[in-house]
Amino acid sequence: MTLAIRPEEILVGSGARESPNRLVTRVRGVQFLGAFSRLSLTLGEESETVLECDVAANALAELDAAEGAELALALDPGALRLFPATSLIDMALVPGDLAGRIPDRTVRRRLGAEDVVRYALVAAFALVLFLFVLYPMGQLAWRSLLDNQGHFVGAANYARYFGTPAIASSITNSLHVSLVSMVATVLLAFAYAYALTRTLMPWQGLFRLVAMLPLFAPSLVQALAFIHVFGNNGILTRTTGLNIGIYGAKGIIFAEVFYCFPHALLILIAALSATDARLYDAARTLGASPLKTFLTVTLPGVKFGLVSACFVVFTLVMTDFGAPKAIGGKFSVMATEIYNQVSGQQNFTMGATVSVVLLIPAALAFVVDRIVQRRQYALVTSSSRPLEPRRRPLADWGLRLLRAHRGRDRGLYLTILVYSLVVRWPYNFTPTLKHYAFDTVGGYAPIWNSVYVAAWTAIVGTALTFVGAYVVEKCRTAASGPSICCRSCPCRSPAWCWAWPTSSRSMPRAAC
Amino acid sequence: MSGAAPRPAAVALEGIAKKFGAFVALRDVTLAIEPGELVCFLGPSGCGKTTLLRIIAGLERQNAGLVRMAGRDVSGLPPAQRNYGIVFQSYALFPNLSVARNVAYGLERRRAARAEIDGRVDDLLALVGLGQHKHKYPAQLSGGEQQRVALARALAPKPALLLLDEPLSALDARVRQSLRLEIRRLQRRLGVTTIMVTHDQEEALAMADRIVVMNHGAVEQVGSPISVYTEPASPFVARFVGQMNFIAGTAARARGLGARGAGGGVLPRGRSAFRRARR
Repeated sequence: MTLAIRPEEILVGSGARESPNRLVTRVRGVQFLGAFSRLSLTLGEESETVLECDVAANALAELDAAEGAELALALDPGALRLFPATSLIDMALVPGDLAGRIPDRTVRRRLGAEDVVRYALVAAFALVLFLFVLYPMGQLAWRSLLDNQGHFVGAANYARYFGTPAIASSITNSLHVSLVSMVATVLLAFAYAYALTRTLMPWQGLFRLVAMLPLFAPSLVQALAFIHVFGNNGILTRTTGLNIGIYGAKGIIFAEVFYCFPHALLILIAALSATDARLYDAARTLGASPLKTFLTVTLPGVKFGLVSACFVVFTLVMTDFGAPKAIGGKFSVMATEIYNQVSGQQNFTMGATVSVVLLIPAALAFVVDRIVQRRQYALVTSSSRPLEPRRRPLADWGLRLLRAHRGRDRGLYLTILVYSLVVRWPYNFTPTLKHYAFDTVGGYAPIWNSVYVAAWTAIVGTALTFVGAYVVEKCRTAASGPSICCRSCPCRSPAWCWAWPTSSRSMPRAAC
Repeated sequence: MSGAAPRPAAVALEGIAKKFGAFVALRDVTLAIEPGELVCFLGPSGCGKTTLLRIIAGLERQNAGLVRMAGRDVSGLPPAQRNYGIVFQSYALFPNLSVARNVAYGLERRRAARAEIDGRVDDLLALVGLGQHKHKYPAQLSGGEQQRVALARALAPKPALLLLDEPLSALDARVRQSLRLEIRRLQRRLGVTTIMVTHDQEEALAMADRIVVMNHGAVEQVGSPISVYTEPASPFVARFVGQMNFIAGTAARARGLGARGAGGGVLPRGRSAFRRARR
């Protein structure tokens, strides 16, 4: 049996004398709670049963209930409740088989208008994905299994690809360039993003804006700028006589780092901004050194951002065509290889083969990306407090100086501008606007073509991306995983492979 | 259960069960809530009270059982067709809309006339005492004021049922006490059937007509605040609602004196009547 009585129902002092169920207890503790005090009482030296007893403030004065004192009390029979002894255990009262009797499926819900729209969107988007992503990719894969006359040759193309040393070396070249650019870009971008988000560096807005400049130019422009500065006839080469041999892997890496920098920066700024200040407070109060704080709070917090920045840069470089073409010289990478095969030698099947090979690192990157994402925990909850950077003069100015090298970057664009404004670099520096006349190459038509294509891509691509993101995030279905996979594929192969609307390539990036 | 009553229960739950994977959140909950009463679901975190509220709201789908509202089976209806208003712990006001637009939000969907909407918004803001804050934005209001706006927004479309999901938990102690009374007063005045989820026993005792004490996904006791406090049906209820001392013992002898109290009947006499047990 278990007896139960509320603390306020236990009788003490004069009231306890005439009552049955009298006990002598010892006071173990007194808690003052305002209008009343709560006494903790033991039933004897060896007993572990503790009774709690509430006594009104004025009654306590006449009790003399100091700690350790003896106290007589009574349990009023009318106030005692009785429970079976077993029920004292906090029951998981239900027999084990009950869980089995509950059906696994939830009840069916009638289709509302919203659901209909939702399913229609899913279906429409699946169709778009099939038409513009899966079907061309299938075609590409199929094409790589045929010879140029359209006969099925199995893996012969792949055998030839890997068997030709000149072609196969483009794989290692691509990997080399991509990995080096990735590490360099992400390290630089991380330092830059850290300076922008975590310090009170002067002129932050300006630095942020300046860092975004490469977004507005294709990688080709960075490559040209490097040629103009470091190339055989570049400013630096001519003024100092120092030729660093920019054509080749070195030049590609330089150009790609500049080209990819803002992409990585945007991701890392987002990652570094989403942090809970309370963790930093905790680290500070526990006496962690700045390095330990950085390693245990900052880095784990942006781990996911770092990983995705790495993948974005890696795939951007892997699939970039402009910079290697312009500055690569004889250094052949996979993207230029496809171009050579298809455009130079009219070898469509080999082009398709290279494209498919190019998808492999991309597919790997995707899988790793998903695994990392699954392990990501919520960094910012509703109770998080945003981190306010504190003034740290040394770091603020130190990082600013570090950033000064970015000025060089601006210099590059300036160079291109100056170049285009003189008669014939580097022999005649007379200022002129004649290069802007475009009289020989179809005038301004290419510009308007670019604007036209870009505008349509922006409209269609954004709409498609929004619908796609909506379908994936708001209508979680069995199809979500595969559809994310499909959508990100274009991100991982050169636009060259996509003889389809440009939107299919820009889409995944906007969706991320 | 509604067969004999002239008026069907405002909300009737029949054998509700819910699983999240292998975890059983609710086991066979059956309950009837009468029109106009304020019922509190009370229990520790993880007892299933919020899940039960979300199933009533249609935000969660049960694995088994029926939800009826005023006799109508709504188990298969989406949330929008169930005719209730809900207030969340975190207010969930639209930060980009003014107080008046927030309150009008549910009315605009029902395509009422502009003047009619404005009138209703003014009435409700007056009701919660925020008439002068009409043109402010949620961020300019205190927590208590925001929660009153949320209450007005939930009540604006004249729902048959009001659901309150820990509405006072995010507020500080003093505001909580005054809002407790205010919600109670408003609920009485409008006569709207209300279900409130809380883990605060004091809140439940102070506000509810009836308390549903839940534990491990099952209902432990249903009763008025006084009966739940004075006659707890189980040790769990006794300990969760108010303080309770437990003394383990063995019955020495029983005399038929007729039962008293909840489980009363066998009353020990003196200390020797029960053996102290070690816990």
